[in-house]
Amino acid sequence: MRKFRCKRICRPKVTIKDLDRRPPSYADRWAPMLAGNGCSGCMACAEVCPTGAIAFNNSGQILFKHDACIACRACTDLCEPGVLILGPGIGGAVTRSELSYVGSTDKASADEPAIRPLKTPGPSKTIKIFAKSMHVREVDCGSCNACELEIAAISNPVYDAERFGISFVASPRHADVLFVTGSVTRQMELALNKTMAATPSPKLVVAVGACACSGGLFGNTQFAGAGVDASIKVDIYIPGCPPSPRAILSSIRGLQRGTITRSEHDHSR
Amino acid sequence: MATTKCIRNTEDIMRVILGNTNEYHGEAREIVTDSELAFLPELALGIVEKLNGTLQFIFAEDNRSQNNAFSLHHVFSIPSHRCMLHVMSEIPADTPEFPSLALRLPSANWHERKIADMLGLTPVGHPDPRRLVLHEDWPEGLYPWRTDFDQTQAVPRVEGTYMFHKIDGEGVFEIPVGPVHAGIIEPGHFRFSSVGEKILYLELRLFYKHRGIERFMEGRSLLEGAIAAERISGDETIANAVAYSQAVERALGLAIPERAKRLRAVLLELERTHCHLADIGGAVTDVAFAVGAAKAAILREKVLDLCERISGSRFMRGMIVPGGLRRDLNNRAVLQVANFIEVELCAVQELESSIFSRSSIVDRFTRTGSLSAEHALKLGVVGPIARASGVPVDARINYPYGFYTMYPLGLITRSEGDVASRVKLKFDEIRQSLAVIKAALDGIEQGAIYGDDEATIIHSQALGWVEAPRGQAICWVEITETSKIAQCRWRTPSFSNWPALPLALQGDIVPDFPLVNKSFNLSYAGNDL
Repeated sequence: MRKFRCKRICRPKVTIKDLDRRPPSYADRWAPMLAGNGCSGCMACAEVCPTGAIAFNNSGQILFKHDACIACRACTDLCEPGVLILGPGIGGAVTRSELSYVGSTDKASADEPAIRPLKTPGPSKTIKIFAKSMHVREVDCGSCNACELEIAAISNPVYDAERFGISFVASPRHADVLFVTGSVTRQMELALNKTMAATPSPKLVVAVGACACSGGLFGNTQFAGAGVDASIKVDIYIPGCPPSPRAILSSIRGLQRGTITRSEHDHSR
Repeated sequence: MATTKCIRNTEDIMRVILGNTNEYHGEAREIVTDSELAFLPELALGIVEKLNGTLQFIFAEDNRSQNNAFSLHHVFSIPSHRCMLHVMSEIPADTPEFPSLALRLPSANWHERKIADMLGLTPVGHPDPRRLVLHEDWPEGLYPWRTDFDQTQAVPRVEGTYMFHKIDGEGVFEIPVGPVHAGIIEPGHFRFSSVGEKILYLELRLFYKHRGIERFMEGRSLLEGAIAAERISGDETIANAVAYSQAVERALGLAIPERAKRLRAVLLELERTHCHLADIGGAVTDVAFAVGAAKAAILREKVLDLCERISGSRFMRGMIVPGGLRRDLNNRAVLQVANFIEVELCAVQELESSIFSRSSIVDRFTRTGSLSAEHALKLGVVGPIARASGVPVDARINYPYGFYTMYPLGLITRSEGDVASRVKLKFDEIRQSLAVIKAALDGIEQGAIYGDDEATIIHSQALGWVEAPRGQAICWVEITETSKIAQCRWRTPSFSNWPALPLALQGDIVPDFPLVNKSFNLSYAGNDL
């Protein structure tokens, strides 16, 4: 009876086993990628991108900055050879440079992957301090509310984050982890700093969504900042506009199991 | 949309409306007229009192480079003539002030304060001249919407305090709440003045999330404008994108194909469904009915999952563009939606009966957060909140557009204006939305989803509006000769509805605030822009 109910409520996609088996980089289709060779290097995608998430360098490589990508699909709609498609993006990462991927515009050899990370993650220290119990405080610093809705969704009966020991708390004083969304607007910066100060150490900061990772569409103006790491140190970046509940959960699961590692640093300064 | 010469009184307006034969593809009309500052107060009162119109939107723009003046725009809606009346007047650059309407038409209050903040135009006679959008650390004399404002310069923070209204008396105390709230919600500051548990007064302090979207839109391409509109407010993705697209289509005289009209209606109503289900879930959470909240969350998740399957995005981003749709729904997706409606309808019925069969919930919902029809009307409240208080406003019926010009939609209203009526109304609207989806898909035919008319700029500016889940959203777009956005202004339903929240709470107790707030379900991001 119990098994039946569980199946009925939970879509088969997101059972615990599946989440654990899935690499932490899993996210549902939201980022542009090269689906093979044949990119003509016309740079139309880089020109149309409203957030500058696609760039070309001198050696004929195409650079995808997943921290800035809002998956608006302006580039994939425009791609003349049709090799730029919206594919599975990447999930959480510990530095912004790990969110950048390169692809080759030349006719590369068939066994070379169409896109690969710009930088291989350097040596970093695995931490699992909140592996079994993670209390999260969410701080909205200027998102469009889609990220909040998706974060709230991970604690609904379908995704049920509580089964992984993840629960949302009402005060930063009770929190281990801060989920920060939005590009940090001018008028929220003070509130974010106060929330950060009120959270006891050790703590982790997770930037959720494109705005939090890079400033996103509206960032880098006098009103909206350049992302969370312009104000406070960020431990995990979860890109997406918005990242789906699955992407958020799998990234957090990666952190809990130590498959997302983070370099050692101290928030207590 | 022809511009006529200066209007002075309601007789002029009637002449303009009756003489205007410009039809826009069978949709409600926008009638643009000119007036002068001195006539505005009388004119506005005349429209509201004699023509039963509503003041919807006031905005201004900096035109000093062209004619050494600012232009001030007032938008009224006149339901009896199914039109939007757009009155433009000029403010000379050397006297940057205009007569305030706020004392006699309270709905003008926030609009005028926003203009004062962003453009430095003084509303003369405004009862509350404090800052609204810009917080106290913004320097005096810097107006971000003026064309001479330097967007590359860093703006320093200055010392300043915001003067909250003080309520004095024995036993009166203040409870400050926010901007960071206890739940997973957006930031805003509330200051309660209460005696014991009773709320005497609630003051709102919002705009923590001001991202400068209207300024951002200037100079962008039409596609970028749609992408930005989708990101104004997360759960109103489709609504805002459609409002923007309709404004651009009206400006360019574009006709969109029927398939696109029908599919837009499907997407709009799907969005209304998941937005209302989230509200209902939130309202029952706040009365500690966890089973109902879980059921609502599962139902909502199913809608979002359907949205993802048909569009590739849970909030259906990247679907709408001026001229039609960016991508089509294939036959399989159409079938999925059609099948989904039948299943969802039963589940929604079940949820409603499980909520309203519990006396403890009915007890908390009834006569809590009552908003009278008179207050709703005076403050220009829109959407489900207005309809739950008995005010018959629905842009889909009063000022129809797209598919709603072909589909006879019944107006749903309730009279009590409390939390119970708002929740019941939302259930009724979900059922109605599912019926609209069914009707839109019934006669759908294969065809183009994007109008390939030659885009010629026939008007440099136009209004677009849509009934978003929270109420009527209005977008005004001015387009340059090179098909870029020159200016864009927004009046979202949340901007109209926030000022009504303190009125609904008067006499209630502090613990009812979350419940009433949730039943209003206002967007902070959509308000702060």
